[in-house]
Amino acid sequence: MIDRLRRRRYLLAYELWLDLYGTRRGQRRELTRALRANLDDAAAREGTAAALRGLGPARRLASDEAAALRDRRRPAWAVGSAAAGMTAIALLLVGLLSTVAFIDGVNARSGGGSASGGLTLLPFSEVSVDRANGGLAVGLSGQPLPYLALLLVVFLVASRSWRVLRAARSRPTEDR
Amino acid sequence: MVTLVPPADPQMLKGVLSLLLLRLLAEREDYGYALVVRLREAGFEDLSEGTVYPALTRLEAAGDLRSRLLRSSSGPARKYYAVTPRGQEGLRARLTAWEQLTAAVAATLRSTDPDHEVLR
Repeated sequence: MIDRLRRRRYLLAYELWLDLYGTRRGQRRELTRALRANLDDAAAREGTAAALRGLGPARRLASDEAAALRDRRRPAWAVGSAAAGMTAIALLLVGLLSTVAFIDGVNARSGGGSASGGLTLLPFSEVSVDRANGGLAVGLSGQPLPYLALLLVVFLVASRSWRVLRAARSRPTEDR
Repeated sequence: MVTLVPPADPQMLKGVLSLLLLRLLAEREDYGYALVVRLREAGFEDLSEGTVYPALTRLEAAGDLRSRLLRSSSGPARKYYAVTPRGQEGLRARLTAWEQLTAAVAATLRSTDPDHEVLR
């Protein structure tokens, strides 16, 4: 019973890591099904502990399998999207924290009124804070184009988009 | 049984693992764990499943192997691998490369150490 639970836990961790390493659903299922059959055989012959030891950590096995499946001749669009997404989240966080710091600076100033200024960490942007009648109005404006360009560059670099050109160039040779 | 590869040098085994897998599968189709057992019985006692399974996936992704699921009486269906025509070509190329490499290594060792135990 405990052995079966340990095997199931390993297979769950393995499938989760495969997912995190960007393996497609069909491939993930196929790999996990094959591993389950192999693991059952190994456990019957050597015992569950030895069978799991032979596989090594689920994360490393999943990483090796995902790397084996990755076609290095094709762009990794999913990786590029994830990198651009993370960059966008990081920019939003920086914008949020900078704006909060700006508001704190305005609040620290005695008296009311309004203030506006640029953010050092986010060029091409401007924050305006307006304190009137006990209320607070905050606005963030700026040029979105430089940021969109940055996200595009991150996407293109992280997805290794130049492989599209390489694949297109090598196609006539392969067809020969 | 003779241990062919010292356990201290897993990199050496990794370099020839594709050749060994293609050779075994050219003999008959088989599934992952059975191949591990065959390799261990051949002398690679310290070989781990975690090394063999990704190598099989790599060979299949490269088109050197094809696979099919076959029902097993003892549990879930097993994934059986067989060598494709491309894999047969790859096997021949790898065998040639291996023979050239071992010949060159043996010649170098003989020329630098004529009394080397391995080459006697």
